[in-house]
Amino acid sequence: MRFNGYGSIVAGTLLGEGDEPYTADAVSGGTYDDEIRFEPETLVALRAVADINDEMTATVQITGKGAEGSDAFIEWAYVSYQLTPETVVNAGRFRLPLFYYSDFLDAAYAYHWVRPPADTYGIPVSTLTGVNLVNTHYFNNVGLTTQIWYGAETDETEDVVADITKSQGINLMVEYEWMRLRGVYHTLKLGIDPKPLLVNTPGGLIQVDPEASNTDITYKAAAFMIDYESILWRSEYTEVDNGEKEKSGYVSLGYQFGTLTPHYTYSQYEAVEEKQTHTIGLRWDFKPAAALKVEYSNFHYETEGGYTVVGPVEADEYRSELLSVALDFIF
Amino acid sequence: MIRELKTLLLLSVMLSSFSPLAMAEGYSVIVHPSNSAEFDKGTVERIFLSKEKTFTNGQPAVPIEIQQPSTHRDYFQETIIRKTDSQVRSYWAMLMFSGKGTPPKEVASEAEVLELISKNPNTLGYIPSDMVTANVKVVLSF
Repeated sequence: MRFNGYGSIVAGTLLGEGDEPYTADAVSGGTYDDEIRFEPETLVALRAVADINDEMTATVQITGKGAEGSDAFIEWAYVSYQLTPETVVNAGRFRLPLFYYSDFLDAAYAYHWVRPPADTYGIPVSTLTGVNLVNTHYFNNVGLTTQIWYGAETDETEDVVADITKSQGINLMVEYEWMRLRGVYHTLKLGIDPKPLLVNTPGGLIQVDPEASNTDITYKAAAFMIDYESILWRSEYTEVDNGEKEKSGYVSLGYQFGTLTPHYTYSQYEAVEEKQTHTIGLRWDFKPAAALKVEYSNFHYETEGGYTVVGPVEADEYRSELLSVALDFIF
Repeated sequence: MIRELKTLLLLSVMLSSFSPLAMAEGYSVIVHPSNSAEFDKGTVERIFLSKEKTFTNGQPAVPIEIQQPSTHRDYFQETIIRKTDSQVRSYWAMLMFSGKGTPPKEVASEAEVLELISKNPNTLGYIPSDMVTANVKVVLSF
């Protein structure tokens, strides 16, 4: 049995008196207001791996989040079978590998921000129960990682039960020297119970036809990443189609000066609501396996009006500012 | 006399421009003597990052790492992996916690690296060049 894990102690506050509350973690519902709060994003995760035999391992990953109160939840629980040295099949519950950071979103030590741009990553469902297959192959010095998955998941949010079925997808990642290019295509069926006329779902805002029990949702996304010497570039573009189209994307640029990595990110979201976010931050690798991060985000939100699960929204526009400090570690 | 001196000088210049394998750089990448695979810097880097899982001869590749803190490992990461320590740790955090890979087995000393590699044809590691024995094969120096 091998144990390891990761954690983040995060403190954040909105800078303006009476700024609109800001949800930083769509899965746990962790939300910041104009007081200094630690609960929204503080978490610890423990991973245990046991060998079953030469080709098989069992993995369990348990996460405790401040925003979830005292409930710990099982994010990963799966059995892996090493088909060949390059191919592994996992069966059980795993994180959905939707966007570049999706399947290690909570392991913040692995990236430069306190959190990846919420305009892209604000999806309330993060896990899937089913099977997935990962193959990595190198053609000389060009790497190709292929991942395919199939599964289903039931998720209860805000008095609504979302039943996700036929969740299937493929992602391909090509790696060459200092760049990575990733593309993903993912489809699912979503059933809502009870059936309100409009619901806020993993696929965004959906008009539910009381006659129909299922909505088809399609995700398309591309990522382009560069790590060239001390330069760091991250960019993603995503499209969600649930009858309406939602688009989001970001570009992020950083530079590593020894243990210090300053960075800037611009991200955008377009649907019923429009959001733009500017983020500047600094990562300091002050000790092995631990990093201290400071981040300032400026959000602009605008909508001409529409409907959400809690009812109609008036046309609105506001700006808010969030300051966060995080200590991220792995063990 | 002058001519002899000149010849000697010329000889010494020629000799110094050669660098025989035995006098290689400070570290050697080693494998089991029976390992017939081909290696270059890129191959070693990819095997240690678990990107390539087999040697060029098709056999499974098992890299052996040295535990941190280690100046030897720092030098290896700097020259072969070309990543800072926090970048290496971030890389493994990404793979481990997304269920896609595990970092190489770590041992406490170079003597253990030598011991393991002399016994197992699938292993690969690095040690200071002056520790190399006849029980292992050097495939790269850095």
